[in-house]
Amino acid sequence: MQSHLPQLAPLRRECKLPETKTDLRIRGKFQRGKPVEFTFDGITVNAFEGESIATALLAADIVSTKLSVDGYPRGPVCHMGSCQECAVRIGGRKTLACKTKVSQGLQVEIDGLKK
Amino acid sequence: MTLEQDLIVIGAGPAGISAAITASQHGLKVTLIDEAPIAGGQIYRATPQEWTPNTNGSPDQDLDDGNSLRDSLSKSNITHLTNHVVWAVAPGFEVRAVSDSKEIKLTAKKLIVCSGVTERILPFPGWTTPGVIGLAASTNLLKSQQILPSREPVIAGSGPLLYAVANAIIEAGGKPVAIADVGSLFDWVVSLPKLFAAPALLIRGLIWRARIFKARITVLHRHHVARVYGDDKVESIELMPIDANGTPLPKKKNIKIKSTSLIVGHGLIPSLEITRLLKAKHVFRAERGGWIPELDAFQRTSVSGLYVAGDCGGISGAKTAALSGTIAGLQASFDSGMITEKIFQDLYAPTESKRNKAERFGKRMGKLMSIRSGLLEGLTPETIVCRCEDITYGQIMDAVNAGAADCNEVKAWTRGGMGPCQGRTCGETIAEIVTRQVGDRDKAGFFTARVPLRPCTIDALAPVCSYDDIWNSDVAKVATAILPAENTEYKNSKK
Repeated sequence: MQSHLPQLAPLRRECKLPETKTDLRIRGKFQRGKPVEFTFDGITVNAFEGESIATALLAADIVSTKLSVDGYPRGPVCHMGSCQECAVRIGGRKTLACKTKVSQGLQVEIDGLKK
Repeated sequence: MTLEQDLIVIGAGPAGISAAITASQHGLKVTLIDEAPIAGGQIYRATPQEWTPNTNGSPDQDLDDGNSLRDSLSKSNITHLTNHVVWAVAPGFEVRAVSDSKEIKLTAKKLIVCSGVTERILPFPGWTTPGVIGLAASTNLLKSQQILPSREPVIAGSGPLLYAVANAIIEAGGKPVAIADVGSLFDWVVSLPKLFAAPALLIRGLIWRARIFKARITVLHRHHVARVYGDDKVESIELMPIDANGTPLPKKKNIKIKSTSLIVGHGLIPSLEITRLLKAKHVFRAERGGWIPELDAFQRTSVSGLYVAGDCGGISGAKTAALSGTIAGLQASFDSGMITEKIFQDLYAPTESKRNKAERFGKRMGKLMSIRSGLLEGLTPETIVCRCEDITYGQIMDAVNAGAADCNEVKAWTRGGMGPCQGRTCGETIAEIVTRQVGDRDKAGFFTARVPLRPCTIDALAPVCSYDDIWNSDVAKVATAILPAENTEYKNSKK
């Protein structure tokens, strides 16, 4: 779908991909899905099928995922679809990062405008 | 698309599943509707379908309990709608839900609401900093997404979830820096006799405490978060000593801890958007989580045909939830004339006694998680209270001082609670602030529920149509018929 929204200013942020020893994912109990790659605000993030966008961002140490109405940085709080603080944009459409699963090549954009 | 049912159950947690199964066993045509992709609710939230369990994994009680519930659900002939977010409910009852940009309309004479709870997170300076997440959020991450919220977080708040999360983090290889419990050790000790009602859960709790002790993690009782430092990421956390009511004790020293993550929660509050929308009668019971719908012993609300089961009828835990769900399902079947009074009584009596026993444990846990008004004393005028609209404590106090006498007046004057979360996050805080001025929570009231209950896209509600469809609609025909003569220009243009 064509997005008619204004181009969003990228949030200045340093992103480091997780090293194996600091990886937050719990191994052992479950076999995760296939590895996938998606982008958040242009940054490539590695994830596994079945994970939510919010989980994958947490694992990639990206905690600031949106800008509030007054332009303050915010991140996911409730991880269950209640607080709406993890809102991101996919194809211009507002979506909750905690309720949307990652998929290969997904382009996720930050929500909110920097003031 | 409209589906006609005998009974609609909203929420597929332990309460909703039990209610739906019971009613369906007695011959009702039941639809169970839930926003998650797999049934189970928050407590039994399943891991994603794409994942396969490793056979050598350690046993998990919640996972097993959840799987057995899901098993019985799949064996029943209940219509189970997954990934459906309920955005509106009308009296009579009409339930509207969206899924994948499509809307569905369901109608039924009976409705059982099992919408569960949301977490209460009381604000403190810096609580909006990214990296501050909920206790319940952390259980979700650990349980269903199999990821640590952080390796070395500070955990703060009240209730059993504090220790459940700390324990799960230790088990997964992390080490919390500190645990700050609003309650005192004494609060827990006096609860012990009541907790013997559920020995298995009590033992589980004691194992958690032992493991935390063994890992040498600092547990600070009677402490609350004073402030979180950091701009776009948590850098450090300051904890302060408090009294039994949660009021800060300025004479005692605060503790500053370096950590990039704060996990915080102050108990659970029933999710009542639907019962509020349907104008059921509500009562305020702090020890049950706050406002709860008024229920009789058969889970009936003040609205005919509307039942409530599980924690959204008052905090009491998963075991009570399942039993109250069974009772609601039974009562709905009886009210629909599917079972005789004799059968109803035979089935109701044993379930009721089990529920009452489970409730003793659950109610005590609810009490440990009840709100302490002093916890808001540490707020500064710049602290954001309503996260969606960036409304500060100062702005809310201005409105209250200018005469706003209940929650809805504060909402109308400040926009606090008017954002996309519908006041689920700030509702409790604003109510407590208003209460300080007006005396009690009954006077402060609660935010009026409004549709859409959850944000949904307009294209999901309004299907694709052309302008000609609008022109040919009944409304347009009536409108053009009553247009004054001089306005015929537009009419003619369409001919």
